[in-house]
Amino acid sequence: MEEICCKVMSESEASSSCEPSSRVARRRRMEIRRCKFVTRVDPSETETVSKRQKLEDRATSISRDCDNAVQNCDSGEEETVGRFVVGEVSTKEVSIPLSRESSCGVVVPKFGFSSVCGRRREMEDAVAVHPSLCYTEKRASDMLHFFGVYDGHGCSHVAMRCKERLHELVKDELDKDEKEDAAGAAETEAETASRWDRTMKRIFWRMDNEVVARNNEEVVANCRCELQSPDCDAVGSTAVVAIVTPDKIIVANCGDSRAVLCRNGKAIPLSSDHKPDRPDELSRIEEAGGRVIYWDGPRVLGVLAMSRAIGDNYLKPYVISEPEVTITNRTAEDECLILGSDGLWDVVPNETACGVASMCLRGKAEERSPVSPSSEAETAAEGEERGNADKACNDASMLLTKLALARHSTDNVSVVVVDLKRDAYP
Amino acid sequence: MATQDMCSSSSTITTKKKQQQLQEDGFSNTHEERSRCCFEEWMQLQREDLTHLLKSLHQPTNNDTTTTTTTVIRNCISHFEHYISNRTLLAQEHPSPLFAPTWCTSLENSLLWMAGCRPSIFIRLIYALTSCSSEPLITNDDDNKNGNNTVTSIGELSPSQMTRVNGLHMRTIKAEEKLTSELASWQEELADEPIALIAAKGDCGDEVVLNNMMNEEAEMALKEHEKVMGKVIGKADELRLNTMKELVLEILKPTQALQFLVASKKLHLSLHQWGKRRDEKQRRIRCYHSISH
Repeated sequence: MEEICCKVMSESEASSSCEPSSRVARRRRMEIRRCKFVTRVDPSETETVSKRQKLEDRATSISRDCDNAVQNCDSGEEETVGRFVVGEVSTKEVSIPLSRESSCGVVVPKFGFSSVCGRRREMEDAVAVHPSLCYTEKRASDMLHFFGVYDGHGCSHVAMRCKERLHELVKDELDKDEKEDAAGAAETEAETASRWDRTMKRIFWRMDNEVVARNNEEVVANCRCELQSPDCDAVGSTAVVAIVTPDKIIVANCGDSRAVLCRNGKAIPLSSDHKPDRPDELSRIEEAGGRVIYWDGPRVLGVLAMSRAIGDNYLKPYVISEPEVTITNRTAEDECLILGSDGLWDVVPNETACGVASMCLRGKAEERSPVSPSSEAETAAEGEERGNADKACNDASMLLTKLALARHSTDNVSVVVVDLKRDAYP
Repeated sequence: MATQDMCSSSSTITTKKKQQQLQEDGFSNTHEERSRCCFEEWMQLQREDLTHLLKSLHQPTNNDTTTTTTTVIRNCISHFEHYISNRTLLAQEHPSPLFAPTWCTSLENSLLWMAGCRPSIFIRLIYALTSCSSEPLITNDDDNKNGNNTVTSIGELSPSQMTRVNGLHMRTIKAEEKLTSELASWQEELADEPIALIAAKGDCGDEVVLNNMMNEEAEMALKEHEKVMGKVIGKADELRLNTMKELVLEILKPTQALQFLVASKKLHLSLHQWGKRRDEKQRRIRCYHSISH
């Protein structure tokens, strides 16, 4: 019940605060609301003493969370580290379109994500989630939902740039498509596929150009790399992007992050990792005049352990930014979609990940209806922090992250889980 | 050795009294001995804390034990605070020895960051403990959902706890890096004015030529330099303490905090023990060589 209250509150705030307000102020308001919410929890609702005890514990931890969150945004606004705090993207960008669109009857898939530094000292992963990014095409009433995982190398700025820009390029390219195809009749399946293929390739090409141009023209602020190399050419990022429409899943991949679909309990990879020793990639590199040298695994010129990436200008033309695009029709058997960086996939096989995620989503779905007051308190607090991300999906992504850490993943771990079940929609 | 015997007596109160007495007597209270004593006292306290922690961990949980658990945890933290405030006094007096303590084993010294442990290892320890207990959690997730299991294992960090651990991790690493580069600057300072110039003016080859005035000048510059180094230790200690406090008192639930503290005490005490054994072995080898030659 409280959860609903909170959602209503955030919706009303989203609509009332049309004037630009600073993120800090907004975050602070949210913290205040969260505190208020805590005081509203009536202890008399709980049945047993021990439960009440639990609730109080939870309440204190939430209010501490408030202090912490305020502290976070006060100190971390301009700092690189602060920008990576899990869930920050969603707070600002997700909640507003969601609340508006859902009133028009557009179904938004449930999603959740997590991104942790793990056993690394640098955080180079970035996650972007933009449900209801824009309309699928022409005068369609269907929205498309954007999810992306970027795993940077060399420094974090290319991955960060992808997080900030790639979805905007998607929007931009689709707008162009709209103009070109305005007079077009209904296209065939194959035409749609090739249109998406072209569009995604163009988007990645533009993204790569932007990154390279930026490296050449300006000093990248707040970067580790600015001292290490005068030109930031040795910096890049993987990108795995999933665009979910009501009937299709379009995945564009460049690098060794991965998208996996769980369908009817089975794991179906929707992307194929770009490793330098993949036979077709190996011959492509060699035809371009490059070499794959085994130095702690296969590496392009003995340097980069992947054969495609955004950025990495110094390894061109051997390392290219062209994505491989797959288009998958959605079915009623689809359970969820998992996007992850290699921090996950290096230690967790596709099947295990699917098993864990779908089990978590199934379990939480049953759990959803009778929610105990204490867990509801947690849901509301987290829900606000992470925008309108779904708790079950968030839990699934975090469970996968924990599994990766438990299996001694030594890299940053980022996971996005999108619930694709039709009956899961409100 | 007398000081060591005195310090390792189980009751810390008597240790303190003895220490005080020792100071009043003006007998063997050099900075080094007091520092050694402070460290030994801290190790002994940790041994005692570990006993309490283990006892609390193996108790069946009910409402009464929750309060004792909290007390045990709070005591651990306040002991850490106490140790750090003692160290601060020692650092103000004479910071340099704390960077290369003679009272620690060579193994421990090889792991030092700013005269202590790296605060980020607390988070790595959390991840390591998660590894020990996470896999079964995933395989029989349904059992855990019943919520009947009373002990919240550290492997069962909730998603919001994971988020907060990650947030703390990144803040801690950033603070560590900042302090590391601060220390680097102060260390580099040594090669600049005034110390490097004083050294350049002096004639190291002939000690007699090194006149008194020059000595005084160098001494003053070094004192000044040491002062800032002492401040850096203070900041590092503060970071260590704050990271520990946020983790134990704010993020982890009491049972999880118990497990974490047990693991961290065991780690510290074991490293000390192992270090001693290794140093002892080296000493024996040295002895053997000097005898055989």
